[in-house]
Amino acid sequence: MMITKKWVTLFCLSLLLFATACSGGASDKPASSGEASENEGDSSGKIELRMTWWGSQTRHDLTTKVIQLFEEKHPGITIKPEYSGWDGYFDKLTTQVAGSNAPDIIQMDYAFLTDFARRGALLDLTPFAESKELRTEDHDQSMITAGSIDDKLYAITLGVNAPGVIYDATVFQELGIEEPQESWTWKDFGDIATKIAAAKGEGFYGSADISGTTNMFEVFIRQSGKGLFDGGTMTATSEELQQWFDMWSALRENGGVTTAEITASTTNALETRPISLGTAAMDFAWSNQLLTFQQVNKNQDHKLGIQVLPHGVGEKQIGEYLKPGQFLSGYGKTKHPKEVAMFIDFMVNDPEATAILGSERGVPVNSSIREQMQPTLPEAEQTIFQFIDTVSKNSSEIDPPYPQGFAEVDTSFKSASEQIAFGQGNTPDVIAQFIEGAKATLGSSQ
Amino acid sequence: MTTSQVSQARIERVTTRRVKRRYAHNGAALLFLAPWLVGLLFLTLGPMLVSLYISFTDYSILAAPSWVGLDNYTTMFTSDKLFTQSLKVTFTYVAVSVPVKLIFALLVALLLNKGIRGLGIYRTVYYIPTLLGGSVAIAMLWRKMLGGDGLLNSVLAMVGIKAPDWVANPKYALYSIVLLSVWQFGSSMIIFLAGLKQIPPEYDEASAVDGAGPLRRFFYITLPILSPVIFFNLVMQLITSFQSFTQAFVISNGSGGPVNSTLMYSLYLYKKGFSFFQMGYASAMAWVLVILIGVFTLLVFRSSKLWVHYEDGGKS
Repeated sequence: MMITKKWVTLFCLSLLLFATACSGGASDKPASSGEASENEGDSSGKIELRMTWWGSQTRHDLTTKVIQLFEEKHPGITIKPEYSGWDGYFDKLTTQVAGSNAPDIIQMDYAFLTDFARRGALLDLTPFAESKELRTEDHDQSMITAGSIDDKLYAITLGVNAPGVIYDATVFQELGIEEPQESWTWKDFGDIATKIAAAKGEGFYGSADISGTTNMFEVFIRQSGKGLFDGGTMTATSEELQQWFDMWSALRENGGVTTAEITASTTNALETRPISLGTAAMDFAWSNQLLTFQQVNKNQDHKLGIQVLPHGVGEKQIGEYLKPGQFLSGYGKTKHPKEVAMFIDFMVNDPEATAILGSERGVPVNSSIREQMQPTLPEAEQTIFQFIDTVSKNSSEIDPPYPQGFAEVDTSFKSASEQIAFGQGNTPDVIAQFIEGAKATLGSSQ
Repeated sequence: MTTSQVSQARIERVTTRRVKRRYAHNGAALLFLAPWLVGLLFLTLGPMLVSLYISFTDYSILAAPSWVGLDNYTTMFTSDKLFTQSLKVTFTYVAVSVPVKLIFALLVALLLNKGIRGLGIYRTVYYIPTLLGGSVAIAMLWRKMLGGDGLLNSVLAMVGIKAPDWVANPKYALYSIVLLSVWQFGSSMIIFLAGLKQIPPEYDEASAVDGAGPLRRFFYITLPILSPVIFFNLVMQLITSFQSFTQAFVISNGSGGPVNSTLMYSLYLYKKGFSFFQMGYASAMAWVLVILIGVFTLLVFRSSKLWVHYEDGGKS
């Protein structure tokens, strides 16, 4: 009997230990959709969906409002937001997908769409589009194409964007420099940047140095009449890379663009960009970002403008293109595909929801919504709509999504630009190394 | 029932009883160990074995792994320049941060051992950075402090020195992380302090009477007696330094930049796995790291015979 008592005590004690040991891991786990699905058949059971996106504080606020509106209209569904900035967003998402614990609704990027769709991480939305649960008839065809991989619809465009140069119109005016024209060239850009830097003196730059930003370099390459990638290979030649990097090196030397150190400490967060801090007059960005740029600017009385990317010398085609800013996708293993489609439909087609979102993610993809919205827009958004109009008239077709392995090429492009900026190794060597690396990466990812 | 059957049954009964008794004897221990054992099996050994398997495959996380044999390992040692770079960064980091941190920790411990008032407060204050150490918030604060127009440079500017952006310059970025690691000397210091408290003051007094100066007493008495503690701290710091990740991740915005100057081994491993979808390669790197740490720990253990002195002559 003694033994029994001892055993019981021991058993309880170890059970307690075990419980404490485990609770650490279990407690911080969000109530997953898997648990909610237990009572899926039960009509009174609440369905919980998780949604993830990246962006600025403005976007978080607006999106949260849309979620609230959706929950009001659909009392049976709750949506748990999981948002963050751009840095690290896809690292986290990949981890969640690997652990079969990804959010049900995912904000997706063009650059990663192929990777995720081909690997089965995304929900095929085709059936819902066919059954009209997800209405796409008013969406631009090019955006449907952009969201489709292997003829299946994996992503719905949230907003249409175009790359552009954001500039501080107030600074231009103050210095008596004419604002950039639609016809400007890379040479004009360089001249203007140099002029501004010289006029404003030390600590102020004409533009942020974006020599390491792959998708701006892409526009430069497109001006020579091809895409940056063709199938699984990179088409940029070493001469083109040399031209690009030399252009930026020259600008760095005469103070036209930010120094290597400042560039290295600048992140993708718009709040940290030199133009927002009031230390530069230009930056390269996506049209939808104009809104946030305006909001986070240190000098709130400054007016920002946007112009197309500078043209190439003797360019074969216009490099500028319309791009699906971000997509909404469903998670391939979601327990509630129907509700996911419902929410996506709500976010892009519902008049109230789209009114809340405005053009913070880009100009709405739904053309009838766009028409409804236009007259009521505030000034900054009018600028964006007009800019998209300009680009739609003069642009070339978007290239197919980036190939698998792009993330690694993107990283080494940035690293190559830093190497050149900090004077580590001569430019031709760095370029040769970059091309060799990109070849190996893209080759092995096929 | 034949006699043989009877004896067979008896043997069985006795054996079961013996086993039972032995089980009862070990049972308590096993029960107490159970949480740890479960953790070991499912959270350590299991994942390790899976990772070993994955290291021989091409695994994109989202699709099933496909066997590639030793490919990942060969690529690593023959053609991956960033792998070499990450090794270089990590070795530099370990070689600089571990000795500097230990020396600093020892110096502070010696000061605190002087019997000052309010020892408890100082001990706590110095230990706090260690508690906060691994946190993302501190690394971000560090980045702000050492940044181009951060606190440090503002102070330097006041005395007319124009300093670089410490965290955004490839020449200094790694050393700003080293500095952050040295700042977290608390745990080593506490252990040193405990070690120093164990040294009987008579030794010191006796040699002082014999005319030994403070330096001599430190090198001939304090250090040798403290050597087992130094050895312990060295091994611990070596292992954690090889694995350091958070600081480099936060300070470089997850890029290991500028120009890969802070691309620590674990950071590159993480990027390979989670940013570039090459989990097989990342697993192979993890195993190389395990072996590397193993080899270095072994070397320290081997060398310990030459410099670690135990009061009982090392016989245990």
